[in-house]
Amino acid sequence: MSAAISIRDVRKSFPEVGPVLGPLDLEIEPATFVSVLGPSGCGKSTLLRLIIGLDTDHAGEILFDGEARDASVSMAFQEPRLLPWRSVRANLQLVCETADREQTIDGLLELVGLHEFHDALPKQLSGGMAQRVSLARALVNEPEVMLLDEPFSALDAMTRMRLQDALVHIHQARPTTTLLVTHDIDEALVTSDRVVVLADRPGRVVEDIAIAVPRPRDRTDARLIELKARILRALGTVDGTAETTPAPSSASAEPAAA
Amino acid sequence: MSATSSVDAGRSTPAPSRSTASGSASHPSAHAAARSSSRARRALPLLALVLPVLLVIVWQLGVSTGTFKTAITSTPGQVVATFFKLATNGVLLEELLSTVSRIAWGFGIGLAAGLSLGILTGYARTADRAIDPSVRALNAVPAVGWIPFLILALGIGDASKIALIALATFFPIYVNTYAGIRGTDQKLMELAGAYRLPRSRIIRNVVVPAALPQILVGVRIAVAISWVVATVSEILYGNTGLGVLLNDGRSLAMPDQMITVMIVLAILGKSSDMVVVAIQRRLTSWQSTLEGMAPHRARVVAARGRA
Ligand SMILES: Nc1ncnc2c1ncn2[C@@H]1O[C@H](COP(=O)(O)OP(=O)(O)OP(=O)(O)O)[C@@H](O)[C@H]1O
Ligand SMILES: [Mg+2]
Repeated sequence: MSAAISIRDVRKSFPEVGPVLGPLDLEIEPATFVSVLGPSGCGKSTLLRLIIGLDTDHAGEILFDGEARDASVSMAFQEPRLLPWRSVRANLQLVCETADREQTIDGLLELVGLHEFHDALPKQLSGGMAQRVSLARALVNEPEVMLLDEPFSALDAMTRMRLQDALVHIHQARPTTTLLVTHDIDEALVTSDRVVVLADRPGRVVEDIAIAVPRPRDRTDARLIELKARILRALGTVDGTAETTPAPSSASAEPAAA
Repeated sequence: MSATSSVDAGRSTPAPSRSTASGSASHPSAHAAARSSSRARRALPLLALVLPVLLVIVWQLGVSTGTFKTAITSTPGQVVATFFKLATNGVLLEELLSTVSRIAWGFGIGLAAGLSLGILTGYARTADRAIDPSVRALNAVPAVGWIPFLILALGIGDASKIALIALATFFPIYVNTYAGIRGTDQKLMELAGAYRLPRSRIIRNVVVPAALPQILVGVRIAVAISWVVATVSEILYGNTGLGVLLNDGRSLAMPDQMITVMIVLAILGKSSDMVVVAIQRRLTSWQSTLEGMAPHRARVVAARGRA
């Protein structure tokens, strides 16, 4: 139902830019929720593309349950990538393979708050709405592994928190091995069993933090705030740019979410 | 500036009542402007008739003053009379149907072949390598250059004329289908790969829809070409069809018939083009392009450009 992922000595470079990733070693237990943080351009999206097999031109190996096999992996790309000529529903229908297709789709559209827009064309959606369709699409087939590339980056704070909670809920109901790339430390803390921080290009693991706090989590939990400091320190050592959300403002904005 | 934009909004959005209402509420003067300029907008399609009317006037003047020889140009009145004669005695309809049915067959064959081969070579690398270069080489032979060969191979009846139209329409459709398929966004192909869509579904639901705007460009060119080659083949070696009426007009000294048929061809060509454009609009409305932009929005955006 959900697969373990072994990333062993994986390295990736592009001829034009040189090494962008690795050497990278990660063992991800089945059904765990892992967030990947790191500065822009450190190879996070590239890592997801390697895992799903869109790019096989890399060194090292990527295994599912210890074998070099095909796993059912779904991915929400960094951009929504909806087919512009298909309605929201038809975009989901195209990839949906479950038996009760329409119910599955209705349920997911409800979940991401877009049920009213099931007939809309992508050009009629806002950036955040399109992103939510893309998230629903990643959930549609109940895959063994789910790769989510900044799925909430275009959303307002409230919708973002609601969908983070929904994601936690889904993961608890049906634990799928999940890799969530994000720039939002709080998002990682609320959702994940584990947070991996990558160094600036070429991306390597500089910090790997287990979060033992049971879910659903309170965003103001003292243990999370302590971990946040640790993640910020790790990010601070790898990145000079202020790409990630600064701690004080987001911490003070949070009590409302409890 | 604000008056203009509210006026424009009232005219061309699908919900005119709402926008005009808001526009007129805040700018009473804009309301009057809206009315006069909306009258102007409604008259806009008539703008297309100015040139033809002018042409007829010049024609009549030329004939009346003796500048034009009626043996060549006939007269507007004579052409109208001949049109009604040919239209009522059934000759025009019969020849027209003969031309149109050959176009229908030829275009249908050209479309089917151009689409299927264009999709094949556009999508499959091996087929591309094996087939595309030869097709491009054949494309270098002008369509009418096939006529002698087609007459030898298929005779001077309908078959060779239909084959000519099929060939002439095949190439633009093939070339544009191929280019459209090749132009499919890589990101959408990756999406299809990520979700492991079966190949047939990729072709049907990703690649062909992505190519559709370009395919329709090819179709539009092909429709125009089909009138050209149909007429040429009839003029050169036809027994029936509008081209024959044209040719008879020349050889039997009936310039009125010649010009009548030219006008009929112009109307038919323009009408068939309008049909294709309507289909184009309908099938590609998912695009967000300047073409699909509401006119007032396009104008507002363009007006921001610096001189
Ligand atoms: N197809 C490609 N060709 C060449 N270079 C590429 C390609 N894709 C990515 N890169 C390079 O690889 C590096 C990592 O890119 P990637 O998209 O994985 O970054 P990222 O960590 O996801 O960044 P962000 O947080 O901004 O999304 C970048 O320096 C980028 O220039
Ligand atoms: Mg990225």
